Amino acid sequence: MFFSPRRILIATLIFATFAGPAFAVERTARKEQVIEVMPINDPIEPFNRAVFQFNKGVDFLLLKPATFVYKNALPGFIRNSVSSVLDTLGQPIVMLNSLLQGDWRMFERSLHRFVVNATLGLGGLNDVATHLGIGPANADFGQTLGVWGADHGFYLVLPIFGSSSLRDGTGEVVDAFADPFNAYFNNTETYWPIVTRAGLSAVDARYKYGDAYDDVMENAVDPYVTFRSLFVQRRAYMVQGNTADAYGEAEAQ
Amino acid sequence: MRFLLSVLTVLCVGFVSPVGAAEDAALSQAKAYVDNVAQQAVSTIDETHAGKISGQKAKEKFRDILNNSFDIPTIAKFTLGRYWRTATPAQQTEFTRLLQTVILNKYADRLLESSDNVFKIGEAGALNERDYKVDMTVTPQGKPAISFAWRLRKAGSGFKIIDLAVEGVSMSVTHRTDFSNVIESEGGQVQALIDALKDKESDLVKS
Repeated sequence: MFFSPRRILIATLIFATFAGPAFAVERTARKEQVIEVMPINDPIEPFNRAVFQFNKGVDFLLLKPATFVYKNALPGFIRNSVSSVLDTLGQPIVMLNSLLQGDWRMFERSLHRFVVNATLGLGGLNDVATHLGIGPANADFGQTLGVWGADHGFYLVLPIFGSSSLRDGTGEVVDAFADPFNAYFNNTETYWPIVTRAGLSAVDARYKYGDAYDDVMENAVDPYVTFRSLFVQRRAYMVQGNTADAYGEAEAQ
Repeated sequence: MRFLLSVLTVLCVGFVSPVGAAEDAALSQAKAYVDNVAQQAVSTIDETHAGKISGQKAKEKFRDILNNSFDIPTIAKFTLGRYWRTATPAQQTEFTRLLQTVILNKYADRLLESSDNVFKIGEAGALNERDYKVDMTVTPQGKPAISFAWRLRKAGSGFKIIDLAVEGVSMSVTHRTDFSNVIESEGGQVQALIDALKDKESDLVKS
């Protein structure tokens, strides 16, 4: 089939990688109008705002109540186990992206986390790695594209997943395809483990970062703009590390 | 050659070291400053949870810590960005007041609700001739560690905090972006932002 998912994926990837400089030109033009630190092109803002509202509704109706039950009905050790299993399942993708980014230290940390938690931690049920002083390991393909020099392209609010961009959204698709857990269950046409994992990931993230989400919603005059700024800064930090200095950039304006 | 080495040694010992030592002293001072502020916050949280002080008293103590250790006028000026210059002195004063009551105090209240946070001071570094950065990790109980980066500015013989970046996200920059967009969408009227913040303030009073 000409329009196979793989072909669409590759085409999007190429577009995200090479369209960056073109968008960068427009970005500079936008910067003249709205003085914004680390600006991101947002040509589909009305659509993004609609999805943002939709996500707010999903959070209120589904995610928040589910997280309330998760927090109050389950004992702490079960929550820790869920979080640890999800983290362990995510490590192969972290390892792969660390290698692609040439980040040997992150690769090593991710490998250690994976091996220790999968064996001593009984398949990830116990986060032995953290107790042994092995810190968290994170890396994704959107970040990898950023390290390779690709720009965001444009801002994109994804249903359920929230803030993203053309580059990072592409990254999420690539990570989902490359994930061995997903690949195994896709091949055996057993989809419930994939869906369960996605649902638990959403609740786990809501539990860990929900207070921050609620604070932003409450404190911001325009939460949409605030979340966009948070996203760009966070991703710049993940791509550039400590050299990302939004404050310094703002002062220089 | 030996002469050249001696000259270099004298230059290094005579000039570089004192500068380096002064810089090291400033970095240690910056770390100690953040450590002190964090200790004050943690002891206030502990006293509140232990029932030694009332919730109201704790809020007052937190506000004192905020007033003493944060450079609120600089934060206000930064978060209003280029509109600080177009705002009237009365608007500047009103905005600064609202920033503190609606935004900063809210963060302080939220922090007060948390418990069992373990903090650890990390590295410190000079960002430019007047600003310093001090890293800190905060580990809330049962949750992953969060990286904090405090931005300090020299003030007299000490420091004042001018920004806090959480996981690479600067609070000041985030608010600045939000505020600028609100003003921009209202045709550059600073008053529109002040009115929006006043609405939030009255919501706070009601709740």
